[in-house]
Amino acid sequence: MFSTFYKKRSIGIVRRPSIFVLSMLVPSLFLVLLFNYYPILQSITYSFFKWSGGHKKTFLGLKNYIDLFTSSVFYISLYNQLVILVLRTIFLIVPALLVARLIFGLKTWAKASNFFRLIFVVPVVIPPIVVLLIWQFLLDGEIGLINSFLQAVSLGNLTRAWLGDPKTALGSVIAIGFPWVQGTNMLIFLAGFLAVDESIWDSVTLEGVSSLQRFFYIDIHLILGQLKLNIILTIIQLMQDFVGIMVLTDGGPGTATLVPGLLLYKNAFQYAKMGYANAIGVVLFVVILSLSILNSRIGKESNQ
Amino acid sequence: MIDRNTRKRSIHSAGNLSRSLFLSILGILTFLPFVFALIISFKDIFQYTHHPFKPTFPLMWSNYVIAYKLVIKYIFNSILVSGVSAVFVILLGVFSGYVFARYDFPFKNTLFFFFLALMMIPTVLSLVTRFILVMNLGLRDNYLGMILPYISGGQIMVIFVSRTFFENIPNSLFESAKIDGASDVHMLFNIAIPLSLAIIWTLVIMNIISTWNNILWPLVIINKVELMPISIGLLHFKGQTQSNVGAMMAGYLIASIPLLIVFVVASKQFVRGLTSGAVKL
Repeated sequence: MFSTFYKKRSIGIVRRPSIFVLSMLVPSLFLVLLFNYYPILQSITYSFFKWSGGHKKTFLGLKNYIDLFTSSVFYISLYNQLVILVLRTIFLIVPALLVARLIFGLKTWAKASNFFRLIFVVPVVIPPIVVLLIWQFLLDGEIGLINSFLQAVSLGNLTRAWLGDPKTALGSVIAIGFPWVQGTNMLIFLAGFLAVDESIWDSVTLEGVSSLQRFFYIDIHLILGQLKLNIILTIIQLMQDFVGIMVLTDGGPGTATLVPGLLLYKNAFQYAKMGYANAIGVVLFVVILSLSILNSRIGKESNQ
Repeated sequence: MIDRNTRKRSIHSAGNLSRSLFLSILGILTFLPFVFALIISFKDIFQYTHHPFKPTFPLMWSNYVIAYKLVIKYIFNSILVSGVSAVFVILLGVFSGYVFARYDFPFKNTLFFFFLALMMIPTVLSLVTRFILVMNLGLRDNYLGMILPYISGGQIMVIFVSRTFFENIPNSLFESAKIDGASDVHMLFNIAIPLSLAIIWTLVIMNIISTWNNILWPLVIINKVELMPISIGLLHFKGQTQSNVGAMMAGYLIASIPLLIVFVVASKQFVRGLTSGAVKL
């Protein structure tokens, strides 16, 4: 039995890959080369070209990048993205953390804590498109339920097309999903709390600090690893997820909710400026890659 | 008797009750939009304009009939696309994960990194060029235009997870099989895979969720209404039911049922799949 512990390596040492090894690997490798690496290399290359999708390409050097970084629309989209990133990250982290802590606090009452855990996980199962469309309906200017509610409590003067008004569009997009208890983040936090050694909790309880103080000064430190991880994963997800905004407002009205990902999409599929779109893609890639590297560093730290 | 009372008191302590109260309020707020969607789904347009909030009678079950007829084809498309993708994602991913775990060959680690690096590269980078590629392959408005890129991208996670898992299966199991004259294929299908069914199911569910919920790629590659998966079919459906809010909500709720069923059947794998983001890499 013990031999398995130090002999965990491969069975036979095969110098050349056997037919078995090759036949197992080739399908995966073929697909990845065709559908992943080929388009990736192409998009980096074509970011230096004028290209509308066909065979004709004109080399432009850095012009696409220069155009991008001197375009005011790009900075508007960056600003919107930043606002969304900051607020959505807070919204998707804080309520989840709070709920995880409360459910953890209920652990002497197993039935209740299991019940609430289930309650906050179930919404994760609802497809994002359904959540988006229901909220779009709630916020609708003509048939929306939020306006009906405002009228019912005689605040009719506040009614508006929430997603169609430049003043409220960005705020409405960010507010979607209220009260934002993100199930996945909640589960990760809960797992973090459960992994803390029992004796640490006991010693903390004895100190006689208020529960709010304890939450900010002690509890958060105990799950700092999970917190960092959730924040970065959320940011990476938010950077890539422009399709929600596309469904809700298509970046409008005007540029009120435009984000870089959507700018890429519009340039590629509406204006046929595919080279320029690729340049946006490369910029997004560099940012997301740096965050992913940071993420895996933190992942390794918190695993130790 | 005494034991029971003391236990009860500690369970229903003031702290526990206030925690439950607070969680209940948040829980109700979380479900509020869906509860309203449910209430509205039973209204015709007149009932909705006059009483938007409270339930009205008679219940308009006909909304569900209308909505069902419109969305069921999208659901079938999604089942087909996500189902076929998941099968091949698992097969190809497990095949590669297995040889990475148990065989030595030149450039093994380079090749592994070659797969793994893709986890760090956002799909948005190659969205445009992948679209052009799939179009040039003649796969636009074709199920394969969705399925093949889904397999290609989805297998990466499976390769990574199954390699780690297969490496931890005791070598002695394989050695004794080898002495009995078992072939490579036999060892894969009769030893490695049966021992890892739990993790494989988790990977299946994770993959189904991600392809089922993908909006962007179908939006780019599918224009024909008959081929749309539910994620973009609903956008088309929204346009068709603009004048009947009840049917619109009914359709949204019907669209949520398939994943809910998956969750009920395999909640353990589902939850494990959700939290795996934290252990990824």
